[in-house]
Amino acid sequence: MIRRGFTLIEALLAVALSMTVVLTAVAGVRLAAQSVTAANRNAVENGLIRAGYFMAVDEADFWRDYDDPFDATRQRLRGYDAARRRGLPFTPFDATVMPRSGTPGAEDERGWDPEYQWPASDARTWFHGNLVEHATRTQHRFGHHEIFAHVKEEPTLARTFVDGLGAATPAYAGYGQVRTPHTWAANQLTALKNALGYYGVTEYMPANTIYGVHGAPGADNAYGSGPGDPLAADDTDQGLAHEWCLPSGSGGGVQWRFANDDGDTAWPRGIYRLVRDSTFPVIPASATPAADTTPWTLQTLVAAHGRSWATDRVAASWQTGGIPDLLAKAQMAIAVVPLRPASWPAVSRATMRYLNNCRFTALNKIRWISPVTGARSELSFTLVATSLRGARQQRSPTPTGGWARPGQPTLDAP
Amino acid sequence: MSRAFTLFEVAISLALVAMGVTSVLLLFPTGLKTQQMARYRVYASAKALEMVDAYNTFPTANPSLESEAPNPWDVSTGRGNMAFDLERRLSSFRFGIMPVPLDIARRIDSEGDEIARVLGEGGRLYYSQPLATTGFMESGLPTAPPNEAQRLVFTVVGHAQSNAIAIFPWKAWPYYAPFPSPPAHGTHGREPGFSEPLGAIETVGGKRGILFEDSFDADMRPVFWCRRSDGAEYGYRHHQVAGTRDSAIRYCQAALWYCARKGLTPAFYDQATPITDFDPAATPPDMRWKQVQALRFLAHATTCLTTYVDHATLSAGLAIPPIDLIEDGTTPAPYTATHDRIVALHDSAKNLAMLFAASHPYDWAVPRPLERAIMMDHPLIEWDMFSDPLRGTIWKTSVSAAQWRPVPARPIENIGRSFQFSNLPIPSDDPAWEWGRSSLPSFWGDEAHFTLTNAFEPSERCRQLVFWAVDWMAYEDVETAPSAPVDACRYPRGAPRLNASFTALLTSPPFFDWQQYSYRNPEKVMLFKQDLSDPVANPTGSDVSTRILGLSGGPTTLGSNPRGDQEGQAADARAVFSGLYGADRNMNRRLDRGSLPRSTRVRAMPVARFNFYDLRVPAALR
Repeated sequence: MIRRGFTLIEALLAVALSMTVVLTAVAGVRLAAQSVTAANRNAVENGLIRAGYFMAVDEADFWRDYDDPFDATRQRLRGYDAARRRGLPFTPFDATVMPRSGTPGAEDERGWDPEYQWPASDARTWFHGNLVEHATRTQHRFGHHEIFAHVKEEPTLARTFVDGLGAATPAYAGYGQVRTPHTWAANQLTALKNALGYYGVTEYMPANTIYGVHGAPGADNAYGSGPGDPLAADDTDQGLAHEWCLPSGSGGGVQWRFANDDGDTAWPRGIYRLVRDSTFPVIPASATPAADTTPWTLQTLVAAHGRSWATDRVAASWQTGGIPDLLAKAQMAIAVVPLRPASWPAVSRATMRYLNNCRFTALNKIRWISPVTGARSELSFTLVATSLRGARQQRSPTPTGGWARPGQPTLDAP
Repeated sequence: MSRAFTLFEVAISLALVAMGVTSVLLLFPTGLKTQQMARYRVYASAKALEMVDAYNTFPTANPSLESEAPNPWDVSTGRGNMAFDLERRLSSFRFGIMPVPLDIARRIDSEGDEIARVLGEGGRLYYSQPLATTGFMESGLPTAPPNEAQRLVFTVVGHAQSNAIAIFPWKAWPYYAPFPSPPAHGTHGREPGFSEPLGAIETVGGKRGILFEDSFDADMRPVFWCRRSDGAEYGYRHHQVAGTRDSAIRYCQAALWYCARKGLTPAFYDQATPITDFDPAATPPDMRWKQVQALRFLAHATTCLTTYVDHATLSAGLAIPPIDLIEDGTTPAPYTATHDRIVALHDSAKNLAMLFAASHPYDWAVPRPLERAIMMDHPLIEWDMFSDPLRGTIWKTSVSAAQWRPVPARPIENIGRSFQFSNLPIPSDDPAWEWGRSSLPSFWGDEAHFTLTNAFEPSERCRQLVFWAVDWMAYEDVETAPSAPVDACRYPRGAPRLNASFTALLTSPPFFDWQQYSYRNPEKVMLFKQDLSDPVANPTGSDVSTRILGLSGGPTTLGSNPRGDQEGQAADARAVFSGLYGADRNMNRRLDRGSLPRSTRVRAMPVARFNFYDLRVPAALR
């Protein structure tokens, strides 16, 4: 029997076919390996993004980045500047900040009643001022509305007015001292503003509130560029308090008073006009809360909660003090996983809370950097969040008291 | 005899093995795809939540250039902007969702041709700006890193719903006024296109305007202003100008005359303690609005005295001589103003105004108190889609039009007239009522067709946000494709202004453009101001920051009116405004071009669906 080997052609074909199979297999395995690697990388990245998202949702509910109820060293937004009588968003309403006095339910009641719901039917809650009264240019042509509502129970209306439009017309002396029937709402507004700052007061007040009080027009935001000092003696009890109604007009996006700097609109207003162009933020105790490498001083924090930022202007003069400055102060960046393998992407989340355009916003950004390419990506979103009032009512007033159980003392009712 | 495999058999076997191995290996990328879709679902969840939140908190007070209409079949030009559909509310330059350019959207395939169907029905496919809905001026923000979420496109499916009418066109109730206050007057009455009653009284000082509230109750007119036969002037307007003790007293005299005209005696208004309730025995419902208005004017007038008369004098009492104001025989009783009575009047006016608003939500005789706006100020009115519509011609034209009849929860009493068209009566149910241009034997719809308080199944009203993932930003014309067509209602034009030029209509609206985020092209802040489609003159990656409308077309100083290319006076500006040259859609301030030619179609992968409701009753208070 003749045994014959493969011919050269057969051998070549066999080798070629084998090579094809091997190459296909190798390519397939490589593709599979790459797919597995990419899928794994995506899975890790997705897991971290999801973790960041859930952390953001959790933070939206509990405000722990701003105030850790279990860590006394991370509760600096509970501070209080006794010299200036101004607090921060987590300052407890204790006997120093919100002393209780007077008759519950009456105009002379003072301090914060956490159970009170501000019903629209309660005359104490109504604004009694003149809605077209300018904070500085008023001639009181339509009368002294200070006689109806005031921060003081017995103000003295001493300022004189000139009759009519001509210089030859007679001047009228002040109205004199009166007993004002409505003092509760003005004191609630003022006390809340001083205790919590601008964001806090807008969050606590009903949506239909008219912001503005009569009395202490010489008073101003002590931390701003205004001339007044809240502890200085009043020059008169007449007119609207400047801090509520008078834009400071300091430019550069900085507004040192409660009023929105949208022109010469210096009269009492609702929340829409106040935040249409401006933003009231919650400023964290540090721009880097985890490391706390750049903590703000108490005075800086109190000042920052007593001003607004222009966020609807793009010109250069507004940019400096506007959006970039706001982002630098109000936005916290926190690593999702502080310690991680080098092969994992660096994922961080940035969070920020503020009020503008009538919307209380919890802005979140999840950012990640690819460990392979170094490319940066971002998911930016806002969330429906627990209110500041809700967050305060979650917390025990004692520094290590943790969460408050129902019926236990809270920051609103220490 | 045993035989080895032939070469052919070996080859076939190897081929089969290779195909099997390859097929198995090809399954691996599906894991990758699964991970990608998982990520898109996170993006979609975050975006859907944000959109619904932003929709529910959208400022209701955003300026609308005009919101009322003269005829039942007319609608205001801003109606579409103020409609409470999710996509209409949010597709604006401050609320973050933009229509995908129609040229590109039509190249996207989807399961069941759902995208094509939505586009075919006049809907839009949307994408999200790379930033969240921050409320900040986007062009003032630093550039954001690339955002994969921009690959998500989404739309709203499900029938548009007939919910409560957010703005009743013939009278955009609620009208608010401070209490106490003078008769309501405003500036729009003298602006072109708006109507005013014959012989309307102008305001003085500042912007020109008219008294309009007297179109419901003529007795308010002398309270606002009148001149007697002896030449002496009375009323609010005179005091506003004169600002003297004498003018304040004359304003009080006018307000006291109004009380007498309404049949009110000092037993009602001359009290030292505040009135807290209507006397149900002595005050039939049709008298209550008269009491509220009388206290409103008298309290305001007497408060004016306090600037010119001191506390001590007023404590002793200041006599207000009664006067027959229009010499028709109506003379009020003598009245002495005191400090205590002025304070009591103020509280009484507020008390009764609040009580009236809460007790008579469908009686529009009295404006609602601005000091304490409440949900109940907003009436429940919907269109009756099951009755014959009202028909006529559009105001001052021969164009035929129709409108559904409105159906309120309860009959509206004392509907009065509107602020913007105060010379035109609003039709009532009086069969004899004559419109002047056409007859309307029945204005209101059938009350049996009122559904706003009915229970409903989710399937009856649910709409759905549908998200897909597609790399539409890979198209070569991703940034140079024109914006999706902008609805005419997005242009803030002065209306109604018959015979005005197109340019005049576009340039006269007296509002700052940056405040009108319900209006304009939703892509406004990223629009290109010139044609950048030539790749030689404008290579991919070019810095386009100086060619973006939002970066260079905005106001430069506070108070300046941002005219120019934002308002569209010139034809070229209108082209910019319509988005003819495209937009910096990823907001990186660079000109981006993808690798996909326009002739290529892409397929969108379904990501997620979220159910939601449009607001049944928009009644946000701000």
